Amino acid sequence: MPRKPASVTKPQHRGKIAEMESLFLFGSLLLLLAIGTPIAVCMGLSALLTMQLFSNDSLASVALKIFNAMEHYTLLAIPFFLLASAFMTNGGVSRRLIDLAVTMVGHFRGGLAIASVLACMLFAAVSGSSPATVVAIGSITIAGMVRMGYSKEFAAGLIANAGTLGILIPPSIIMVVYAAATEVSVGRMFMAGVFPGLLAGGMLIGTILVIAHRRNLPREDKAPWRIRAHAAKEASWGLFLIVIILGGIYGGIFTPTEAAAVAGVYAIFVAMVVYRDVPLDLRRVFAFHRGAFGTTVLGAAQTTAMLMFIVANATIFSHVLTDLRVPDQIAQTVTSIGLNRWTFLIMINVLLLIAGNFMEPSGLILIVAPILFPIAMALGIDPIHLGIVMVVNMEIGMITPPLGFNLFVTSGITGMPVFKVAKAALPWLAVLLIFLVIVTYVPALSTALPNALFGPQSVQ
Amino acid sequence: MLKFVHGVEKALLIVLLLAMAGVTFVQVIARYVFNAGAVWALELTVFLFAWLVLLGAAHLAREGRHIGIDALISVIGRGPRKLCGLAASAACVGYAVLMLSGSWTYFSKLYRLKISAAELPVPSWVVVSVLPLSFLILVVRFGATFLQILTDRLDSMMSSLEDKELVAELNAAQAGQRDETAAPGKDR
Amino acid sequence: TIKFAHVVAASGHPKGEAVAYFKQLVDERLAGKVALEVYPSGSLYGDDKVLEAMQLGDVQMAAPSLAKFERFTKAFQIFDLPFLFRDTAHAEAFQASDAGRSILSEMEKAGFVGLDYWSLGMKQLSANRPLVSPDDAKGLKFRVQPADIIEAQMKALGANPQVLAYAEAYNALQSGVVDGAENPWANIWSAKFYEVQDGITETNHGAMGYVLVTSSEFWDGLPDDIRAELRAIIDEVTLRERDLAASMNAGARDKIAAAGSTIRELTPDQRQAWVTAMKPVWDAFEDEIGADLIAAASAASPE
Ligand code: NA
Ligand code: NA
Repeated sequence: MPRKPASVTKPQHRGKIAEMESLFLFGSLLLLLAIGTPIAVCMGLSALLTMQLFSNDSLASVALKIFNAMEHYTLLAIPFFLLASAFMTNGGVSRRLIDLAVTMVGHFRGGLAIASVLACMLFAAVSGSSPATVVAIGSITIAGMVRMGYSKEFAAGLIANAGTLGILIPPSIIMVVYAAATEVSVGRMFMAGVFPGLLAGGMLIGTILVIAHRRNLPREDKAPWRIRAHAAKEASWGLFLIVIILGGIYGGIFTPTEAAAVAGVYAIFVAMVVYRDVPLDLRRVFAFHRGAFGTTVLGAAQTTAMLMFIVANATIFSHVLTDLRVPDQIAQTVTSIGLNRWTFLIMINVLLLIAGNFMEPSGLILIVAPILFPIAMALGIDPIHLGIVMVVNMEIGMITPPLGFNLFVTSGITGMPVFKVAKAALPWLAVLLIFLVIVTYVPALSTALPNALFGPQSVQ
Repeated sequence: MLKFVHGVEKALLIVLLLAMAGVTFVQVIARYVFNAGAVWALELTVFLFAWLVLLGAAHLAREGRHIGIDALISVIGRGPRKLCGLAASAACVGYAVLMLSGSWTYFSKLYRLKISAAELPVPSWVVVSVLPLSFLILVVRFGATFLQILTDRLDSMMSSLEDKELVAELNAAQAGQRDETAAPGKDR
Repeated sequence: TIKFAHVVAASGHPKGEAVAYFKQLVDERLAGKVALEVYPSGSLYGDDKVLEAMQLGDVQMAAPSLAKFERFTKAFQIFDLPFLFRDTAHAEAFQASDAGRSILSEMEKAGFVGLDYWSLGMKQLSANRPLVSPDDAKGLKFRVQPADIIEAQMKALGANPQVLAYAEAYNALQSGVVDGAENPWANIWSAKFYEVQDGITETNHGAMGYVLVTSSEFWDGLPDDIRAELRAIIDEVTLRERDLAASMNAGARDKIAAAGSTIRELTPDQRQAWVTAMKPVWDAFEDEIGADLIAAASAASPE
């Protein structure tokens, strides 16, 4: 059910205090961020201090709230998608997807770059995370492109950008968080990402074609159909995950959370039994956390803990905001300036583009979605469209410093300093910004597919 | 001894995640193959999830792998950086102490209330016992970080983020693929 | 200051509107003495946690579903006992009786004061195929709320209960993850379940509602005159809430019919077949709920 702003008015003097409290809340958050405190602690501590200083709420209620954050059924999909992602990266799926992409489009001018984007799109369709997409595809293709004569900056910037498709093309962890925060359907959000994801990938490929023509970029030999068929067959085990995830959700076999769990189990099966790239070492049963299988699961568990600890603390932060009635005040302000749905969407974009520089995407979504969602509903914005707009903003946030996950992992796999990666990503960022404008002004791009599959969104 | 504890910690995280996926997967199979299902399965999965995240958060603190912004502290001098590191780790200790205190109150309230979980035949206090446990570990580990920065054994909370934080956990991926990087179309 | 947290929208839902009316009366009659802050739509706490938050003193009032109290007192399961109550009036009559009140007072040992019962409406069964006889439900998957007695009820029909989040329920029904559900008219209308079901069967097989609850610590700590005034206000609000629930359900039923969905009314014989099919649930839960209580509920009648 969509949240509506509380129809409650406060005595006048509360306004001033709430302003001071909000100032303290955000001020301490920024200060803590600046001195290098872990993001989860920044959000948790600034919220705790604000509560301790200005409200009667007990610390115990925060403990309750933090535990409650993980009891959200929708969020359960996150560890499962991360599990699937870990096994597909380690288990040879990513390599086979790249092989397929190269044999299919490698013969165009700039073919390896185009194939890299295509591989990112394919991997994005089986993984819910952007940094994971960069690692899975980039750790192979960036080196490959450099060897073929592309500049390192070109390759790194391109992959950092194309990797962001990980959260736009379904499945998507950020969509799961948005759905959990606003109680829209995850299945709808996933379907809504398909067309925008294809368009964004297409725009990146189009840009490569233009550059390739100008700079006379290299091309690969054209692969004969026999090789293509072989590559497709090899990759089909991985690609079948798309069928499991989207087909399973749309075909009514699974809920999105279940689809994620099935994807996780399936990815383990493919990695261990089919491709045998992650062998289970039976001699090490008692030290299983050190074997290939164990470290792969552990990696997924660690990423889950890192992301969800941020999400849980963002829940506290958001709780304090609600307690301070900040959402109501923002709603009143927006109503009083008389924003319409388009100007409001521009405001959201500007806000998220700025905030996305400093904040971790899922934590940011969890804080802003409950505030902006009711206002957007009142302005008649489609909740699914709003979600996709937010997701695209989060994509951009992943390649902007100081906090951009894709920049960090690209830097990690290329050995380039973060600021150099950020600079290299800049030209491609322009493509994503144009794409953001399109997504913002063409709601049908997002809503057409889910509406066609599930029927029109019921507005309550 | 400490090494054994850390091994147990990792093994526990692995088991928790696999158990979550297993329970959910079995639910799907049960629904389609046996037309059955357990009403408590969802609740169990959710509890495993909470344990995974909270114990995982405590585990990550030891490895200094909670993500943060190092843009500012990486450009300032050594002295100010140490100050920032001390302030940040002190903030973390303060956070963990506050959370520990709140968790303890919540836990003891539930312990006295004697209510059980909604579907599982487990008392609520057992389920939430992970809260005080995890935050206690966090107090200790953030405290250790503070001391390490104080004694110059650690540069900052976020030392060399880009190699350590995200990439380390995906190291295995690269190790497996490094030898393949030479041949992105090796079938030809 | 009273913080009132609930999970539904501030308007368009009997509970949300009743709470708004509650606030209006408190503002009028207890201005300067009591301030009621309403946190709707689960913005402060969800139904699962609000009782714990109340114990911690962070919320003073809430109105969670009846089913949420089964953790504290098994007797609350009586409202889910299939075909015990004929209609909302019957359920409300029992709730007003001494026996009904006694269930509320049982929560005192857990530190809660049950102030009153509020209504949501009678549950109706629906599925993606017509449900006329209990056999029609055999083998179907029903989305249910997690509760032992509901699980037993579905299994008595030979059906398969599945716990799903309410937010996923519409898509799950649409895509066939589950085949059917049980909901009051107001929810079937507001969540548009009727769009993805082959009609609704008017079974009225269970009473859904809420308990307006506060903590003993807070309630006993109020000055006597304020507590008395609040009590009087609550009595008024409860009446209003029940009227709202009744009219919204009736309105929703009409709108669902007008939208072209089939509403299947059961003949007495057909209804009896459902009662017989679900009767084993009574025996299974008689000990937990108490035979006396069940007898009192059966006998309750609106004056
Ligand atoms: Na994806
Ligand atoms: Na950023």
